[in-house]
Amino acid sequence: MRIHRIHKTYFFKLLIGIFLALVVGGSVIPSVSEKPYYEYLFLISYGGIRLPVEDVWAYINLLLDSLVSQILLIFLLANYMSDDFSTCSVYIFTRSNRKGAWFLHKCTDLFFLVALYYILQFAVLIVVGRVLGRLTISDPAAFWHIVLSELALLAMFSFCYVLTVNVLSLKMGTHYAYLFTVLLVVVFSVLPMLFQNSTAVKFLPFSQSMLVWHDSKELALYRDFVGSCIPHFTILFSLLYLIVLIGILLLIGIHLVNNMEIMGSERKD
Amino acid sequence: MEFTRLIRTEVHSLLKRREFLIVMTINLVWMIVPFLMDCMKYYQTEITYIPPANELWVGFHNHMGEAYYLFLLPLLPALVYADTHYLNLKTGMYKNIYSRCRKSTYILAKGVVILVSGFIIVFLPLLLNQLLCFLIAPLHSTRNSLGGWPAYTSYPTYTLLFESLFLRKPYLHNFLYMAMAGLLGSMSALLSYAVSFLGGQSRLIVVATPMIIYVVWNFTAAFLLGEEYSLYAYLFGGGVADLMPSYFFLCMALCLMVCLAIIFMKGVFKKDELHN
Repeated sequence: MRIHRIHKTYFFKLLIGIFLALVVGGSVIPSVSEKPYYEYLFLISYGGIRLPVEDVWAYINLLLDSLVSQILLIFLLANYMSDDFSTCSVYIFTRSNRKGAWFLHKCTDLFFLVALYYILQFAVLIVVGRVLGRLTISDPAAFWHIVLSELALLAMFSFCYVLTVNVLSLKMGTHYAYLFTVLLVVVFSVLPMLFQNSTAVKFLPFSQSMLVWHDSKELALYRDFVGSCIPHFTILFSLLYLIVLIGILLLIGIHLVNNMEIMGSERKD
Repeated sequence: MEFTRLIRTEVHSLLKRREFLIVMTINLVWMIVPFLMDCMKYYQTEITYIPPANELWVGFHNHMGEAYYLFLLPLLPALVYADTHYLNLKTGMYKNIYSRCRKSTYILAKGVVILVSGFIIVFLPLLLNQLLCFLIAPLHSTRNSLGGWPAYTSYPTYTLLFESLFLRKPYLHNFLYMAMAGLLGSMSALLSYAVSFLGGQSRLIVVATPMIIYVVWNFTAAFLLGEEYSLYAYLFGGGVADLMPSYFFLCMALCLMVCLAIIFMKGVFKKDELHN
C-alpha cells in the first residue's frame, strides 16, 4: 500500500545510493583481502572510523565516508513534504479530520524510503563483496548483529536529518531548510572531534551512527581491526537516544503543521 | 554603458538581498568560532609554543576549516545570488527586464556579479580569520623547532603545493590559498547560475547542484583514484603529497567553459517569446 502511495521518482532517486555503495565497496575490498569476511567489509564501509581519530586525513575520510551518503539522501528527499504541500495542501487538509495524520503518513513514507536507501546500499555491498573479493560469512550471528545494528543506527540517524529538512521546508522554504540541515550535519560531525577525549562524546548525535564506537561484546573480536570503543556506550543507548530525538522532531512537526496557514502560504521555492 | 549600469543595479540588489546577509553571517561566524577556540586553547600558553599566525589560520590545519572546505564551500556561494535568474524566470520578472535592456547584456552582467559574489563570500571571511590570528599569534614562531623538526625549517614542507612560496612568504602563501578557495566559490556560483538556464527544476536543485557534484566527485576520487584527484585537497594550506597544481586550475577552467557554454547556448543565443 505504501509503495503505491510514494511517487515512483523517489524510488529512482534512491538508486543513486547504489553508486556510492559501489565506490565504497570497490575501495574497501583490497583492505579486507587478508580477512575475506563480510563482517569486516561492513564494519569498514558503514561502521564508522577507528577511534581515536589520529590525523587530519582520518578525520576527512570520516567526513567523506559517513556524511556524503547522508547529504545526498537529504538532498534527494528534501522536497518530499513541501512538494505535496504546495500542490495539494487545500485538498489534503479540507478532507482530513486531523492535520497531524497527513504529517505522520508522510513521516512513515520517509522512514520507509530512508531504510530502503540503506538496504539497497547494503545489498550492493554484498554483491560487490562476493564478486570482487569472494567474501564469505565467518560468524552468522556476528554478521547479522553488525548488519542490523548498522542499518538501524544509520537509518534512524539519517531519518532525523530527513525529517528536519522536511519540517523546516514547510516553514522556511526548501533551500533554507537544506542549508540549515547541511549546517547541522557539518556542525554535528565537527563536535566529536572537539570532544574526542571527553565522555560527552557519547551524547553527541553524530556518535550514535558510528557502530564501531559502541561498547558491544559482539564487536570485541574485531577490535584490533576497528579500533577502540567508548566505554559504556551501548547500541541500546543509541537506539533509545534516536527514538527520543525522532519523537521530539515528530512533535515539533505536528505542532508546526497544526498551526500552519493552508491558504496563501507562498514560500520562495 | 548599459553593461556598467546593469552591473551597478545587480550589485545594489546583491547587497540588499537577505540571502547575502545570511550567508555572509554564517561564513563570518564559521571563521570567528575557530579563532575563539584557539584563543581558549592558547590562553596563558608560553609564547614559544604558540604556532605562527599563518599556521593558525583556519585554512591551514583546522577541523572546522576542513569541514567548511568539504561541504559548505560550494553551497554557500550558490545561495548568495546565483538563484536570482531562476526566480526571475519563475515569477515572470524576466519579461519586465528583457523589455528594458538587451537580454545578452543583462545575462552577462548578472553572470559577472554572481562570479564576483561567489569569490567575495568565501575570500573575505577567510581573510578575516587570518587577520584575527594576528591578534593572538606571533608572525614567526619557534614552536615547530621545539616539536622535533629540523631547526632550519618551520614546518614539514615536502607535502606543500607551493613549497618555496610557503618558505619565503608564508602569508602570501595563505593569501593564494584564500584566492583558490574564492575561485572555487566563484565557479560554484557560476555553475548554479548555469543550471538555472536548464529549466524545469526546483530552486533546491539550482542551489545544491554544485555542492552535490563537488561532494560526490571528491568522494569518488578519494576512494577510487587517490586524494590528489579530489579538489578539496588543493584547498588546505597544510598540504597533501603528490598534488598537481595544473589539475586544480584545469578543473576550474573546464568548469568555467562548461558554464559559459550553457549560459550562451541556453541563455544568450536562445530566442524567447519576447525576441522571436
